[in-house]
Amino acid sequence: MKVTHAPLVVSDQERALEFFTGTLGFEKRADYKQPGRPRWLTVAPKGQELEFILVEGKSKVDLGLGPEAGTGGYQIAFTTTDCRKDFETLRAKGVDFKVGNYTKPVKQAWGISASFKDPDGNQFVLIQPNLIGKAYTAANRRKARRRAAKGKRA
Amino acid sequence: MIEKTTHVPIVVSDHERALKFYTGVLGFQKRQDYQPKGRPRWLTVAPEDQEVEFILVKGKYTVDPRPPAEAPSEGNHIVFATADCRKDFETLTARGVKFKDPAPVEAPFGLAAYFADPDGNHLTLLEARAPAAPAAPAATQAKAKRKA
Repeated sequence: MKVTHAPLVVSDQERALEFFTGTLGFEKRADYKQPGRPRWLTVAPKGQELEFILVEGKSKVDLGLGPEAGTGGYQIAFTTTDCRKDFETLRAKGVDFKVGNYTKPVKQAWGISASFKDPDGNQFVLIQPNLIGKAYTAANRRKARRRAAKGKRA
Repeated sequence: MIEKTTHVPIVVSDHERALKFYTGVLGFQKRQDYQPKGRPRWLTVAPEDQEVEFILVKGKYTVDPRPPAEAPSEGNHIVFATADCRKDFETLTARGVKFKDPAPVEAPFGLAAYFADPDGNHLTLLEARAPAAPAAPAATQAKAKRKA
């Protein structure tokens, strides 16, 4: 089993398409309309298998957290090779980087991150992992594999 | 440059119940689980060997975009590719998953099985017809291949 599509709720498919392809530089992957069904519209970063389905609708989630929590973990995360440069580029294109109390890239123990929103308020994080961040992710994957192998033997 | 997606959120009302479903029933791996001070618990799961992790975010929809759990998702779903939809259907049914249809459904794009997690998030298993899984444009794939 592997994930190929994840939904992203947007109020206006055209506006969202413009944002994800024009501003973020994603590719449009699928766009078709079956009679009586919603328009099936997907986008993805270049070369990535996982596609985002731009589903028309309205969405609001209450995490019970304050602005100090930033996205509060309710986010789609992307890796980037240069977080500060992306921040400058995207901000110049009008992308909203105000998420909770955060407005610009933040240095963390595991790298640099910057949170932003799409026109519908969906939250995203750009992550430029440093060596610690990369090692941590790799270690977690190894651990998960070991746990899985153990479970199969048991 | 944005490289790739690493995390996608799933809103759940109860971390433990969701963890049990995604690991125990679907067979995903738990990848990360820690409690930063003064922050929500960071809990992620993923199918074996999949790079993209799902963040199980504790929260509730105050404006819910999702159709009812037993209804068609109308596009608001997470889709998983599977090599054998009928077998997965049997396995998951035995583990207590209630699919929306009595058997996998033949669709123009493949064989699909529709269900929902305990919080009503719509999930789909899809055994795509050739070409497998909706693919990236050929030029992009060739480029990715050269890079690899």
